[in-house]
Amino acid sequence: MHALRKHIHPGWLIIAPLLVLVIALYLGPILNILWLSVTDPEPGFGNYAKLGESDALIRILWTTVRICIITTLFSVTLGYSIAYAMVHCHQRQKNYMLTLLLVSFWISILVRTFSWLMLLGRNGLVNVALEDIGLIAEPIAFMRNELGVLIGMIHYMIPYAVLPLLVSMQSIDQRVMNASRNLGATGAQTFWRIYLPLTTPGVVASTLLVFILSLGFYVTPAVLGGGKVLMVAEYISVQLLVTLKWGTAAMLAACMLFGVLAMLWIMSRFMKLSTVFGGAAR
Amino acid sequence: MKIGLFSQFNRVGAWVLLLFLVTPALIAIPVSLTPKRFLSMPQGELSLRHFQKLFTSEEWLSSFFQSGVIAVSTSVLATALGTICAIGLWRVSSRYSELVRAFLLLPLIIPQIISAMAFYRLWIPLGLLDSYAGLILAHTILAAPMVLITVSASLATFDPKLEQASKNLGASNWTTMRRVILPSIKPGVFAGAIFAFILSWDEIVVTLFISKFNVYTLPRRMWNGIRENTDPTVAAAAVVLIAITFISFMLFAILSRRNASNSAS
Amino acid sequence: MQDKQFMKEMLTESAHAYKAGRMDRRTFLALCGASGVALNAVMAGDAKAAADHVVMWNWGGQSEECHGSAIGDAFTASTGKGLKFDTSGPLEGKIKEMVESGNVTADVADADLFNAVSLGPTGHLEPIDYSVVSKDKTLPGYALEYGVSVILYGYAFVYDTEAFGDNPPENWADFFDTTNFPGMRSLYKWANGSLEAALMADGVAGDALYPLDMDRALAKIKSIKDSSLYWGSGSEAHSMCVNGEVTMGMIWQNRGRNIENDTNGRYKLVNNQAMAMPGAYIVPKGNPAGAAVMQFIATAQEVPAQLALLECLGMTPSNPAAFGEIPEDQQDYAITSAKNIDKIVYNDPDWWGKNGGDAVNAFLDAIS
Repeated sequence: MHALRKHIHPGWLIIAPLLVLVIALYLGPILNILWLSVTDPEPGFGNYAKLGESDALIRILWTTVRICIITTLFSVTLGYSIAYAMVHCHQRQKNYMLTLLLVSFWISILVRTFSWLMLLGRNGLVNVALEDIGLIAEPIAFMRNELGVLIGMIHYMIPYAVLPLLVSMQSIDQRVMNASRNLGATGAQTFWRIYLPLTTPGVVASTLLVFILSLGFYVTPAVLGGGKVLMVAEYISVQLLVTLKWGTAAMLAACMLFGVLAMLWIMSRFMKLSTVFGGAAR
Repeated sequence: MKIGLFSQFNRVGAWVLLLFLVTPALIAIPVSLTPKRFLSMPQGELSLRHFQKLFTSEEWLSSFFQSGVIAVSTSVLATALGTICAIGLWRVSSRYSELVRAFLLLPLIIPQIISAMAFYRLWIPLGLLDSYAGLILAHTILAAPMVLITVSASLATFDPKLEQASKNLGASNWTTMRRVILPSIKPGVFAGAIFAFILSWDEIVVTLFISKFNVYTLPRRMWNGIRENTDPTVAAAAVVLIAITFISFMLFAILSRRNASNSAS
Repeated sequence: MQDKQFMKEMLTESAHAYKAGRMDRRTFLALCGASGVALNAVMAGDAKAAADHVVMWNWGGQSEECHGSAIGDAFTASTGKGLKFDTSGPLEGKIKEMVESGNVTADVADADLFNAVSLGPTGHLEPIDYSVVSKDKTLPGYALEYGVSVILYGYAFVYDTEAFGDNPPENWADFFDTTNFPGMRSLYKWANGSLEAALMADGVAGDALYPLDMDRALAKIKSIKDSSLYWGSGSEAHSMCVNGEVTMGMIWQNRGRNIENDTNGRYKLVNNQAMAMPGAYIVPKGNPAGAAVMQFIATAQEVPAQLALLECLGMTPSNPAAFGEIPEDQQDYAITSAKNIDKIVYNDPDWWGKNGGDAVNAFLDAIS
């Protein structure tokens, strides 16, 4: 504390603009709304107590966490594969791949959900084709259930997973890999023990981004889940806009916030932050 | 570069995945040509009416323009603020800066509907409701955490000794940042800029709350009338955007090849 | 909130005075300035304009065109005031937030009558002025203190004629019977209509539905859960039918004709036991145009406007005087036409206003 008072690192000067913006224009009203969790409809922890009484809320939270974890796992893994391929090929191929990646960004959710239903719905292209060939008798239920939600979400998230990984992979010095091979390591060993750890910052950034974005998803799950896959972001929206149970909404949002912060704290216990976020020489 | 078997296998897999990624885009093309007034595959008949509507309707063009302006502004502002903030956090690297880093993720973690209400409440006394500035500020706050994440990832592999060397050679902080750090973290900055742009371009929840009449972005127009059915103009818009992306990349590829051959000769 | 309300009222009166020439521009601007920057924003920069327009808050799309042509034109012709639309969708939470923030930018919201019961008593709505609006030009029980029903939409179902052509389903009991009528079903996700349909399928008489027996309704809903899909917006309901995902689908009754056309007649509407839902006009407290909005509502109640809305949007008139004048080709599709009026069931806005929130949550718990 004394050191801080005596000498404030000049780095804080450039941290300040964004920090001040968020504190001035965002923090206040957000706390105001989250405060509703202990004041609406009556002062107290009644809303939080509902988590213990209502088995539905726990189910919704669990569905959300489960789907987000699966989505993150698949998105980051598949994203890693794409990023690895992009980094290890010629510039022209890489440009094509990048174009395809960016093209998928442009498609609005309305078009995406429609495309999935068109492709994988009960009377969709895939089912009709499989039935015509004779491989199946009844259409496979890809959509309007949790599988549909996962397909839709993973598809949406892969580009978000790829870019941070690309960022990290591009800065890896190829000579380190060569050195490892020269010293006798196999390809697999080099990958697992040299390459993967070097890409940790990218993996962490990618995982964090995809997981947090997935938590907030609700249009895709609502449509592709056939209304049966209820995730917490949608539930919060319903409480705010339809049922007017603002206290419940605020409580669930606060839970999400605490959950993510807890996750970050646990991460910081297991990983040296300097390997994840780097650090200036002190 | 020796290409191992695994690497080849992975590359094939990556192409398959990329095709999986663009499948909805491919489907958007026939859908945009449907003669019906709801999203559907054309069965026999093709119609350009949705493209016609897109290019001749003043409202759709104005929405395109508004979304473009807001998204570009958001991207520039969020990238600028997010990048220097990430560099600052990287420089300070203390317990406090890590807390600040976690804190700055707040706009990303909070569900968008709650952010929407928060902005609504504050924007009224500030007079920012239903204005370009209000929307750009709100989107910037929402997008900056993404820039922070990607630029931090870039900085993680930036050797701090390079910065030290630069300073030792007499460069000021600003020169060091501009000529040593920024060029090395370009990938992170670009990734962040893209994310910020897309967030603003697609954003509907907050926009519905804080814009009424003056600002009518593309997502609002796309979601208009969703109670009845989805207007296929949405698919036409998607096809136009995809075409623009392809053309831009082709131009970029041609230009860079020309530059390469120029510098070679 | 009181301060903001007072300033709003003062400024609106000043706007009228300014318009009538009783106040000069400088004084008016000074008043705006004295009330603070906020009020300028509140008035969207021009309080004078607020007095010249009625702003309708609805869902956009066809709704915007139809209300404009069916009611807006007549209203402008008789009062000289224009009609503007805010198409962001007047959900209850948004109305509440708008009024509580003191920045009311809408005059009338195209919402449900039960919103009048849940938002009115808490001070979020203006009472309807029944000296201008008529209680007789709507169904009895649908002219409430804080809202009046202008049209009826409703919940009915369509069935796939290719699946059940020779043995068509006729009522909700058939809808919930997946043994004799196999295939998937679609229900409305926000409980309204779905609960009543479940009760009727379970044997409850149409006029004995309220108060709803939630346990009984939810048990029935859960019984077909594996064969059910749930839609939250009209476009989802539409696509489920058009893509052949369901053999019977609950839909908003006023979209019935569209679905029949869009599926080339493959899906057919069943109006038996359809639930009439009062769509209502409600006025947020402190609305910018003040009392002028009542004139707008009164215009909407007139028979020509009612019939125009039916033609354009498929929304059934709620003005009994219009029932007899429903054109021949609309008779099958209008709930209150002679053909259908004896078969329908009426929604109770009072029960839904008081219990809607819990009902929706209980429904969501049951289906997820």
